[in-house]
Amino acid sequence: MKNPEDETKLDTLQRQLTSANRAWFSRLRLFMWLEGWARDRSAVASQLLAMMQDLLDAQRDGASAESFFGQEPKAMAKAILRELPLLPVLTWLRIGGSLVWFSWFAALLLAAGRQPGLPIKGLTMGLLLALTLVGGYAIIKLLSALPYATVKQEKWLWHGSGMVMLFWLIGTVWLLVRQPGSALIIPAPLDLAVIALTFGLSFVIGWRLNRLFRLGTSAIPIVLMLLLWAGAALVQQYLADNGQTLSLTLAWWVVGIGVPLLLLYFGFSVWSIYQSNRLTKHLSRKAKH
Amino acid sequence: MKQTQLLRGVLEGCVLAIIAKGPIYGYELMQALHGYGFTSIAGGTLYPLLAKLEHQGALSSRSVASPEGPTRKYFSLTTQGFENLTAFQTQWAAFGAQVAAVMEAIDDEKSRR
Repeated sequence: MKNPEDETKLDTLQRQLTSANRAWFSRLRLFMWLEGWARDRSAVASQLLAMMQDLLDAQRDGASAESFFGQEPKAMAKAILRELPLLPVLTWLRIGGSLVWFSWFAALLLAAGRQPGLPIKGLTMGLLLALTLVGGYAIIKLLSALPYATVKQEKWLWHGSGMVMLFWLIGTVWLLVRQPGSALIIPAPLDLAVIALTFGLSFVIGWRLNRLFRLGTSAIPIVLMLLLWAGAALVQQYLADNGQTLSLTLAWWVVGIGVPLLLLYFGFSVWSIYQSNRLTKHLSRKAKH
Repeated sequence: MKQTQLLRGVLEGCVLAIIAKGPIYGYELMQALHGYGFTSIAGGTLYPLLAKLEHQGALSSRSVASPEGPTRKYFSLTTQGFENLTAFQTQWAAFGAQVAAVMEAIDDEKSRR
């Protein structure tokens, strides 16, 4: 059975639980999802579904989730997760590919326009990749402690996650601005082709992710931002390759294309926020009824 | 000594023996264990064990729709599971006899005094 089907079933069955049992199981579900991030998603969902089905039977006989599963849900979840299969190799390759792609994309973006020929710095990309891996892992570990944290611990865990994100952001910006390491220069006009190809492939990846997560129109601001970056990177590199500064004609072209894109970007961002707020209000009203 | 400590080594064998009777789902298995007197067993012990046995290939599972409630995950023994059960039964027979011999000797000594 596919994971989304199990997830939908879990949502449906969870509504049949008493409020205390629902709260107990929600915590377990969240913990298993976060702690089991490296485990096969469908195996985790299938395991949770089997436990939910048994809990419903136990509830019908008057038992609570706590009495049925015992006092140590965290230890139980960890022991179960150890037995579940890891994510498929293809998923690991996709995750790895996305991280490498992000490092390449970010480093390329900030390298464009610095000098004639595009400087590609392996060390910068490697450090960026390492920083993202460490930061991502730290955030997952902190968040996975949330479901069973006390109110005080919860506060610290949120602060901790925020701090990690801040350090990641500072580190990323520092790496992209400083671009440490020796450069491999991609000569003109190949450099422009590399930039265009990078952004073209980013659109393809974004389009596929959009279909996978069904983001719909909420992905439009991201697409617009990519277009803006692509345009800026191409113009900057073109100028650097030709030893030119921005002429008045070119500046008008940049403003003519860039400003509408920027306005569209902000417009769609506001619209997306408005739509998601409307949806949240609608869902909360529906949940109350 | 707590029942849980004694159970640690033998629960797996008991679970395999119950499942050997026929396909069974988690809650039913728990009730069966409680029925045999293993009242200290909770889901926190049983579900990791079932996951382990399934991972090792001793159990297989399938979802079966139920007219009384939600679909249930039924566990059955695989060939590997039956082999594990036979091995456990042999070991338990020898172990049980050894423990019984020790207890008998102590009882004899007590009665002689």
